[in-house]
Amino acid sequence: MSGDDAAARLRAAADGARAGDPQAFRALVAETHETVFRLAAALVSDRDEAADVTQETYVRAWGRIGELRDGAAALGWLCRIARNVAHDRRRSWWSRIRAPLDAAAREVAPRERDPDASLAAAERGDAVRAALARLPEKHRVVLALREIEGLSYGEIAAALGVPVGTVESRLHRARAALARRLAGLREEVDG
Amino acid sequence: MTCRDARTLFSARLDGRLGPDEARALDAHLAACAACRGELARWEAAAGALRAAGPTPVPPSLAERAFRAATRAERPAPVAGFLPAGRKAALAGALAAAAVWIAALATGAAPRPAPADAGQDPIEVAVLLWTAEGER
Repeated sequence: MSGDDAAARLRAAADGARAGDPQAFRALVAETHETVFRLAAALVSDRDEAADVTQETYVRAWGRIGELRDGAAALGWLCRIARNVAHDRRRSWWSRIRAPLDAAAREVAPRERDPDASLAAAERGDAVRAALARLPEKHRVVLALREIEGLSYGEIAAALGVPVGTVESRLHRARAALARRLAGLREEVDG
Repeated sequence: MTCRDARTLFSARLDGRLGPDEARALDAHLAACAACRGELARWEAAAGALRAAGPTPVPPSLAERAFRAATRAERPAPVAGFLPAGRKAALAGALAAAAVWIAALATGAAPRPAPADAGQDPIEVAVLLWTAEGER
């Protein structure tokens, strides 16, 4: 299936949804929910929370489907709603309570029995993810979308509503910042 | 190529987005520069560690769950400031009930306490007016 086919399918679904057809909206959800979920996962760093953000995104989208002016811009429009939902939830009392609880749960979760090499790799992965979590949001999100969620530059640009050139420059700065943080960690460990 | 020039190409190198000329120039620099080789190795290790876990799995029923949640919720009227027919009728009834109350109070013949019937309670009137105002 080519990218053109996918784009045509997405546009047809979005146009049908704009006309109020629930089955077209169902197709729009099917076509877009993975990208919306991956963006949400990069923004909130928790799978359950990302699923909630995704669901709330479509509730809001269907409620204001008349605001979608161009079916071809549906993915960017949905991702903009998802970013707003994620920001709203982060400001909510539940997120403020839940984040420390989740962190505490991870602290006490028993680690699988790994051979030494795997354990070292897991710890290195944890260190990298911890360093990622400390980056500024615009760097963290672009890096998570690329390296963890595996989105292409074009998909990231659509998800964030920025040009591909901005994705390139943010990715470069994010990777440089991550490398600096990891180098700093290594110096702390070695030093 | 300077070290600074070489490092501006690292991100594109990781994503395989360098043109053949840039790739050759970077390879030539890396062959001669241990510091840049070390730096690129750090970038690659960080990218590898992030990629190792793979993408966050999408919950299998998420699309259907999101669709059902969305279409269960009431869809507002598409034109802002325009009340749906049902809401208009309720507002008209409430305004009529309020007029009766005001007239009764003015003449001193206060009506008996209203039964719990939405649309005849002045508080309901206020809520409806406030809701209508908020939708404009």
